[in-house]
This record gives sequence, C-alpha cells and structure tokens, in this order.
Amino acid sequence: MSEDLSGTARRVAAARAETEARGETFYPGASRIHLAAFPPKERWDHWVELDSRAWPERVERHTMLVPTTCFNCESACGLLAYVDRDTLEVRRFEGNPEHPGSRGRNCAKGPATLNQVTDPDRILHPLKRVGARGEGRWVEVDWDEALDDIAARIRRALLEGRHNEIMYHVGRPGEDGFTERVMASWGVDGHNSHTNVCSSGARVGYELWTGIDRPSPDHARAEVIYLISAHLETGHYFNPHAQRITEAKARGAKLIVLDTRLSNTATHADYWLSPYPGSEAAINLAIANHIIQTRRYDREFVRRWWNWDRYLADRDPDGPGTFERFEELLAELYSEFTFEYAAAESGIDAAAIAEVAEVVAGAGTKLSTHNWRSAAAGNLGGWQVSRTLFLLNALLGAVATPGGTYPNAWTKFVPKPIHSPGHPRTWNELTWPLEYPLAMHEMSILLPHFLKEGRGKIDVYFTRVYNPVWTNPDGFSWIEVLTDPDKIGLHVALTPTWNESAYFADYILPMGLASERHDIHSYEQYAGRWIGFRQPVLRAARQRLGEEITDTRQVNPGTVWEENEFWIELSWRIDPDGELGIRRYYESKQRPGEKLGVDEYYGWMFEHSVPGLPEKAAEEGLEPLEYMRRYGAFEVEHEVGPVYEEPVPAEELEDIGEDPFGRVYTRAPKPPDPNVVPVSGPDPDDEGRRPVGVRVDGEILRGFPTPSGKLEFYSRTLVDWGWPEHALPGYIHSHIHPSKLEGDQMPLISTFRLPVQIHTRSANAKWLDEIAHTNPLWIHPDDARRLGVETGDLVRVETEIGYYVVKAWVTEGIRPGVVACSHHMGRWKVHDRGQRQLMATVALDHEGSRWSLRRKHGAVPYESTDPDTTRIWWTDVGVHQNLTFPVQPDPISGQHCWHQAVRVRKAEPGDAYGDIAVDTAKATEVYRRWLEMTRRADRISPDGTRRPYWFLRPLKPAREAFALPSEPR
Amino acid sequence: MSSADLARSLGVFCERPDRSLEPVAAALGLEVPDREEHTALFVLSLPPYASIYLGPEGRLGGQAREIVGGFWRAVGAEPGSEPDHLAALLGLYASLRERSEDAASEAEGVLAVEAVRALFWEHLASWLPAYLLAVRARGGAYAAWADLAVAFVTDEARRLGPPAQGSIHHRSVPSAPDPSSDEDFLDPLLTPVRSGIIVTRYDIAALAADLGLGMRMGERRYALEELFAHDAEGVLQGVAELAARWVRRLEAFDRVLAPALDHWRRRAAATQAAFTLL
Repeated sequence: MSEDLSGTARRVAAARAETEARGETFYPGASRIHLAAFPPKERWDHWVELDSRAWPERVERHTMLVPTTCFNCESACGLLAYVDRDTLEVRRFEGNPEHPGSRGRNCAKGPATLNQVTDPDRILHPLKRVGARGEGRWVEVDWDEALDDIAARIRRALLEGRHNEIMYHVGRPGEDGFTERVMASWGVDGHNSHTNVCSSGARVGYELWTGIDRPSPDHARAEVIYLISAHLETGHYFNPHAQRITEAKARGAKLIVLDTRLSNTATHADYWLSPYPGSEAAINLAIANHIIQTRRYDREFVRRWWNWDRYLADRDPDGPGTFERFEELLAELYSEFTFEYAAAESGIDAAAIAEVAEVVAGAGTKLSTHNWRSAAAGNLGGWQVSRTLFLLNALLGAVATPGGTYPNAWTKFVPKPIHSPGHPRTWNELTWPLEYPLAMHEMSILLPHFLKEGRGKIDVYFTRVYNPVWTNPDGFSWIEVLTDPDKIGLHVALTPTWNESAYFADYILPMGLASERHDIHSYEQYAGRWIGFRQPVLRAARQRLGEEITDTRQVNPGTVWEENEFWIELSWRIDPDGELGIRRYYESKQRPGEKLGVDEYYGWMFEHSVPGLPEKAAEEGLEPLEYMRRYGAFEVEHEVGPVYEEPVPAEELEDIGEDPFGRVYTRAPKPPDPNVVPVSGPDPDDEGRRPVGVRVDGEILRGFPTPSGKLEFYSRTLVDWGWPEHALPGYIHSHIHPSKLEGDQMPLISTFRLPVQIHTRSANAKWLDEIAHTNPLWIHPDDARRLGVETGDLVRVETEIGYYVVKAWVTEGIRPGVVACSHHMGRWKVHDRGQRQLMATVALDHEGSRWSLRRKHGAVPYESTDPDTTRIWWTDVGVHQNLTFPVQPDPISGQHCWHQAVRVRKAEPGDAYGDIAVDTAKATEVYRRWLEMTRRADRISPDGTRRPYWFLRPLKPAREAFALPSEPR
Repeated sequence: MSSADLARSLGVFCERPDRSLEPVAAALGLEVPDREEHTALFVLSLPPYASIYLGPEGRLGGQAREIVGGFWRAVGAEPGSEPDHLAALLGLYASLRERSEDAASEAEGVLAVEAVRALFWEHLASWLPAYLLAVRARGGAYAAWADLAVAFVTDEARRLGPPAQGSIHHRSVPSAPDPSSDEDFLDPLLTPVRSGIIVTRYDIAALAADLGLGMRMGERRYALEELFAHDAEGVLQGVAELAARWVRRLEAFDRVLAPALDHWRRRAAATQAAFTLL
C-alpha cells in the first residue's frame, strides 16, 4: 500500500475506533436514492427543464415542485405538482418520491389529475336550483347566499331537536376524521357512508377476529401472497400494494389469486383459481383443514393467542378444558371441508386446491393475505370469506409478523386534532336501524326505502363526492326520494364535477380536487406508519413566494373551495354567537374568539401529534407545517412489530382485575396517545375497570382489542346477538349458490373495476376516458354458443327488477356459467349541461314505478377551452347496470350483496344499447324479502342495547344512545 | 483492518450525503459534497450500480445483478434489493476482508481470501476503474473521491495478485458497436461493457455543443439519435474521438489492473476503429 493510501486507511480505522468507543455509529446506514426520474428535492423550489415542444430552440421552463396527494382512489399516493413559476399554473403531476406509501410511483389516475383540474366542464361556482328538482335549471350564487341558507336550516333543526334530520353522506372520504368531527361538533349522528356497497362484508370478518376491521398485509416481505381481490390492478391501496407484491415476486414469493375472472392480477399469479362465485370460503376452509389435519399450524401461536378456552367453556363444558382437547375438536370442526368438497362447491379441480393448500401451509409466518370488496362484497355471507381467509393467518401465526398480515390500526396513524368534540348523544335509525345491530357501517342503501316507509325524513342532506343514484343499487328508488321535498328538504351536493345525483340537488357546491384542498390521511400499505398531507398546491406555491393566503378560494379556479374551510365557515354561521356550543370547536387557540384557520389547524397537529416530525423538520430548519408543505408526507414509524406481544407497562396496571379467561382490567387511566386511529373498545369489567391487556403464560400482554383480548376464533358476540350458528369461521351458501338458482339463471359478477377508472370520480379525466370507456358483458364461449351470441352482439341481462341491454364480449377469461360486467361505466346525463367526455345523454322516463332510461346519444366531440374535446373519437360510454339491481343487504354485515342472479338472452327487436327498464315496486318487494332475514336488536339484544358497544362504528355515539328505544317501532 | 475500513468508507461516500458523513469525510481527507452534487453525479449521470456497466444491455438489474446477487449468496450473505450498488459491494468487500483476517482456522482463512479475490476481480475491478474514469472526467466535488478510489483499487490489485481467469462479466459479451453493419448501433454504443466506453449525458451535451446543435431532453439514446439525424458525420467523428480518449485513459492505468481492463481497452479501441472507418 502506498504511503499516502496507508496513511488514509489508518486515519479511517482510527476515526472509526474512536467513534465506536463513544458508543456512536461511524458509518452511516444506506441512504441511497433508488434510481428514478425525480428532480432532487434540493431543486424543488426552482426546477428548470427545457420545453420539449419548443425544440430545437432552447426554451427553459421554470417550475416549483409542490407535493400533494391524489384524490382519485383511496390509496392517497403522493403527487408532485409542477407549478409554473411564471404563470402559477400546474403544468403536470408526477409521483412524490418522499411519500413512504407510493414511493414516487403512480398509476394513470395520478397524473390524470391535471385533466380534472382543467376539465372544461367542471363546476367553478356554487349553483342553486331553479324550477323543479332534476329539471336542469341552475343559477350561479355566491357562497354567502348558499352558506346562510344552509346554516339557517341546520340551526333551526338543531334548535327544534331535529338532529336526525341532518345527514352527511360520503363516498370514499380520502381524509381521516375531519368531517366526522364536524358532525360530532353539531351533536348529530348524521354520518352516512358508502361502505355498505363496498367493504362492510370484509370488515366484519376482520373485526370479529381482531377487533380491528381492516387487514394490512406486509406483501413486500411475504413468501406466499394470497389475494381474494385484484390488487395488482385495482382496489384499495392497489398501487402501493402492487409495487410491493411485485418486489416480493421478484424475490421468489408465490402469488395465489382467487378470482372468477382472468383479471390483470390473475395473469400475474403463480396459482390462479377461478371459483364459482360465492365458494371462496369453502376453498379457504379446505386449505385450513389441510393445515389442521397435517398439523402444520403454529401450535404455540394458537395456544397463546386464540380464545380457544372460551370456546371450550361454552361448547365443551364437560370436557377437560385443555388445549389438547381443543386441538381434537379443531380437527373435527373442519374435517368436512375436504379438497373434494371444495372442488364440488367451486368447480375447481381438487388437485389444484390441494397444491395451493400445500403452498399456503409452507408459508409459515410469511403469509400475507388480503380480501377487500370482491367476494366479501358479492355474496350473502361474504363476511365469512375474509374471516376464513384470516383463519389461515391465525393458524400459521402470520399475524403482524414480517411478511404476515397486520390489523390495520397498527399500521395507520391518525394525529389528534386541535379540538376533539365529544360523542353525539343521538342515534339515527335511518342509518343504524334495529334490524342490523351488527352492520359494520351505515345501512345507506336502504335509505330510500326507509324514507318511503316513513321511518323519518331528512331536512338537510349533504352528498359529498358521492353519487348514490349511480353508485348504489336501485338508483331509481334514490331518484324517487331525491325528487320528493317531503322526504329530503334540502339536498346539497359537494362535488368537484357533475354527477347523476347532483342533478337532483338544490345546491351544487364546487369543492377542490387533489391539488385544491387540505386533508390529512394515513393508510395501511406496508408494515410501517405514515401520514400524507393533501394541500392546495397553488396556495403552498404562493406562500413560498412570500404571499399571504388566508382562504383557499384565493388560489383555486373560479370560486372553487375546499371542505375544511367550508365546514369551519358553515359551523360559525350555524352558531354565530357560540350559544349552541358548536363554535368553540372552530375557534383559534392562538387568537381566542377568532376563526380557526387551516394553517393553525394543521400546524398544531403536526407540532403536537406526530412523533418525530418536529425534530425531522428542525433538522432542515423548518417548522413542522413547512416540512409537510414541502415534502407532503412523513413516516412516523418504519416497522411495526407484533403489538399484541408487547408487555403492558407496570404504570398501566393499577388495582387490576382479571376474568376467568385472562382478560386483564385496570383502574389506571389510559395514557394519552397522539394517534387517534379507531380501534374497538371492549367493555369495562363489572367494577368499571378498563380492559388493558391479557394474561398469557403468566405475563400481561397488550393483546387484541377484542372482548377476550385474544384472536376470536369463537365469537361470543355472534352467539349473544342471535347468530350462534355462525360463531366460528364458516361457509354460508351465497344467494347465488347453484342450489338457489333457477335453471336458466346464472350469476353476474358486477363488483370489479377498470384499472384506469375509479367509480364516479374519473369521468372528467380525458386521458383515462380515452383508455377505458366501455363495460361489455364477459361471457364464456360455451355460454355464447348456447345463447347464439358473438362479441359485439346486444344482449339483455334480466335481473329481478328489470333489465339492461349491453354488448357481449365472448372470452375464455370468465368461467363457464358465469357472466361479468364492470360497474365502472355507464355514466349519463339528462340535460346538455354536465360532464360530456364520458356521459351519454339519455331520456329518463317513468310511469308510476316503471322507469326507463334510453340513450339519445353517446359521447361526441365538442368545442371547448380544451382543443382535445374536438378529438373525442369514442361514442360508447358503457351501460349503467347498477340501476337494475335491487338492494340485497346481508342480514349480519349489512353489506349489499352485489352478485346478481340473472337471465341473459339475445336482445329483442327494438332494444337499443344502453336501454334500462326497472320497476321500483319490485325493488321494494325484494327489499322486504331481504329484510325478513334479519334478527332485530329489540328481539335479540342480550343487554338492552342496539348494538355491541365494543364494535367499531363511525362517529360512535355516547354510550347512553346505545340503549334500545323504550317503544320500538 | 485498515484496508477494510478504507473500502467501507469509500463505499458510504457514494450514499446521499448528510451530516453523519462528516467524520468519514474528515478521515478520508475529503470535503462532504452537497446533496445537489451527489444527485447530479449518482442519480442523474453515473449511477453507481455494477449491472449498468457490466450487463449486456447496459441497464440496471438483469443478468449482471443476478450474477452479483449469486455471489452474495455464495458467501452466505443476504443480497438485499441492490446487491450491485457500489456502497453495498465495497461494504461486502470490507466484510470479507475482515472475515479473512479474523478467520478461526487456516482453511477458513484461505477460503475467505479466495472470496475476497473473487469479489475483487469478478465484480469490482471488472468495472470500477472505468467507472471512476468517467467520474474523474466529469470533474466536480467527487473527483477527489474517485482519485482515492483508483488508488485503492490499484493497491488492492497489487496486493491480491492477478486472477486465474477473466471476469465472468467479460465473457460472451455481445459485439462492439459498428455503425457500418449494425442497424441499431446506439444501444451497443451506450452499453459500456460492449463499447468499452461510458457515454454520459455530459459527453452528449459536449458533442452537441461542438456540432452547434441543441440537445434534446430525454434519454441518452434519444438525444444521440436526434443529433445523428441532423449531423450523422459529426456524431460518428465525435464518438470516435471520445473512444480514442477512453483508449488513452485506460492505457494510463497501472498495468496491475490489466486483467480487468484489457477487455475495456480492446472494446474501446474497437469502437474507435469502427466509428473512424466511416
């Protein structure tokens, strides 16, 4: 070694020794930037690039890069807005490499946000209805007029004790808790969500097991990934999940996909199983049985963490009560679920199921599983699909392990806000009726029927980026109540763009898109926890340039607003002098008596409720809010471990009590926690102590937020609430089980998305519309031959309440005997005004309860501020099949069971593409038939309450509101 | 130990710099570059991944990364997601050096030394000197780091002695670019292990400036293609001159690195000849 070099080497070695002797680290850990085309963040204030269109001249573009998060699907992927420094316009959106969930990657919907911002058909000012509802006549009004009118009605309702006449109905919220707290501050149980057309089913399965109603699979580190969903193309968190599944596959992990269709996800699977829809739980149980019979389960995990002792106490009271006895019974419980049984139910070869079972059994603690929507949302008893899926994790001990599946609350962080209103003291039976005490979310699909039955009325109804006429089943019943002012007094649609429900509103209030609003969110996308910050990027950009912006309308197009400021302003007008006790939740702490602003709201939150953020910001000389405005996201914790195994600290154990099964209760108050993520709240013991942990092998551990503190294989809750036959993970025959269909009926799968579209939100994105704008009926060649149809032929699809006419797509991508049609298409408008790139213009008629919708014309090119609208080449925008579906709520989960029993035949003479006919009287009959399957709380409640108090519930009312009414309806 | 520390500290120097790098930089006698310089070099210009300089497609990942990952596994180490990143490779090299020095038995020591030798000649020396040439040519804050790294590699080559055979990455490499016969000669040109030269965005920008043309923004291939469309002769001549410079620079290395650099020199000369003949 040369003299110089050896001298350097000696210096390095000495420096290392000295540093390490101090107990410090000499070599910094890997910090490398993964290769990607991101401008380095050091240049985000001023990024220069050449204008490609100006070539060969060198024309520089000077931009400022401002982060926000996407507002299309629920993944909340990071976006970087490229804001032109000269014009202060957003030039484009790309990924934000600082976002821990999406890591700089986006699907098509992220960049297409630009289309939504510049959509020539977007609503730029508040509109007020003129003439009858649905007549299509509007006048622009200013915000003050709209706010005063709405606030006065709400104030009057509150003063007159009509709290249950105020309702806020939200699509996917895309934010964590702001608006729920608005409802709480008004003291109303007025939150209504879309969830029972979406995930109520899957949630029940997870809630029963863990006390937390969502799964959080650690796909990136899994050895085996088992999906009953289409997460490589669509679905919740699909982009963040898909990139991690892809990484795992590159490592050699095996991917199993259960999907009746050959989805894009199925095409990437190592094992694709195409089951008869509704048989998924039977397959899961056959896999479970294989694991049990071959004794491949993690015996120690099951012994420590299942509530098997409670099961034995109830179901084997005369037995010895030992774990060995439980194992004997477990081996019997699922022995009927052989591969042959699953094969008979699913139509899949028994050997294929056996092969997959072997792969799952070999995964050990690195099995990540996921079910969301899909089969859980399609079938009667679909909640058993997620429950039987998680059974596999529970058997293998793959729970909150690297490569396993977490309960989502452990990988989610919801920062405590500046003000926290208490629980409302009312109970709204329009959303939480007695018939559905175990429903995971509001029974929103039944609202039209409840209103028609006279169960109540609504005085002020907000739809917020939600479109029940189009999204929900039985849309014509929705139109019937939305056009009846005796049922809905005032309908306010908060939406960035036109939709089918907004046509029937009284006010349309334009709200901002992804780059025009503030929100905070955190989603379970890997084994860590992060928060993302959506912000009006032009507000942030102009603040960087030194301007003071106090109202987001100052920077948004037209007078488009954002919801945070809207709700603050509306709440002040409802309670201008504070006498109702509402205004205090919207007052500044810095300037008492003055209105709270969003800068203070988020500044306080980031300063006080996000551990590590103030320190991280300080490293760069920034305030926490500045940091979030600059980077848009923060990782609170990189890796969360098995929380249930954590010992409960001694200071939390005060005068403890313990039940016979080891549930430990304490008098010590709950330590303050800046993370207010919802988890279940098991009841206190008889002496009022709160549950704090569970004793396992003598040690008091944190456990799960279930009544037992353990994983609840056996649900005492279902026993107590009238469903003892479903106390264990099991298999329920779907409403479209072959035994329930008539000879000429077949199941229709309607729950799948198109990868580049997203429900009702993306029709205003021209790039996406050009890629995907139709939804043909998938039909197998065998069925096509039988029916005499070829690709492109028109077919009638008849449901129980009507029919629709659609084009056939003959494909082997669907199993024989099943048809499928995506719900992502079929947007329409009655009048000229509306979104024109992906909405057909239709004639909407009815005689009594018999409704029809006929297409006048599809999409056509048109002149606008965007020259691309003259280049629209597609006319087809799909068919709105959901109108022809009756409500089919599962009697336990409340989930609408989307799959339909249909008859498919060639179209009749006179039928035209897109035709829809429905009789809402028949829809009412179907509603009543499904209602008869329920077991009412006032007949089965074990404790005089409406619902198990420990269950999660959005906007959970105060405990006294849980009491059954003294005179039930 | 000191040589292992030198390897490791040179490796961490190509990570994104922050304050934690200061003690390492001080020990090496280098300044801590700012983040912008780091990004400009290691992200935008010369990503420090072996697979880019050894792979038959000249891109990140693929066969070359697989081979490197296989070496990690062969020595009982977890390859991680980026086994061919220079920091990872130098870190592994340091670990193996330490293993060889701390060996419990003679046999273990011999095996460890062989592992060090294999890693060095197969996966480090096979590309690192050429890569460091490109870093030096670019100048800037990392030039001093590159000088130190060249000294280190040269010293290690001398200490370890020549390999029994050439690097696996240099075997069966597709042919050098030849504009007279290849319908597409740009991809081979931009694939270092084929052309024997590393053509950076700066090289293309300099060529454009020499030719009096604007450089189109985009990938290197796209930019070069556009230049070629406007001045084919000038581009060919410019590439020939660039290759000639590479030949001279490669020849200037200490001969102790010849087992690794002969491939590069031959390919660079072939590239020079192929572009000059036209």
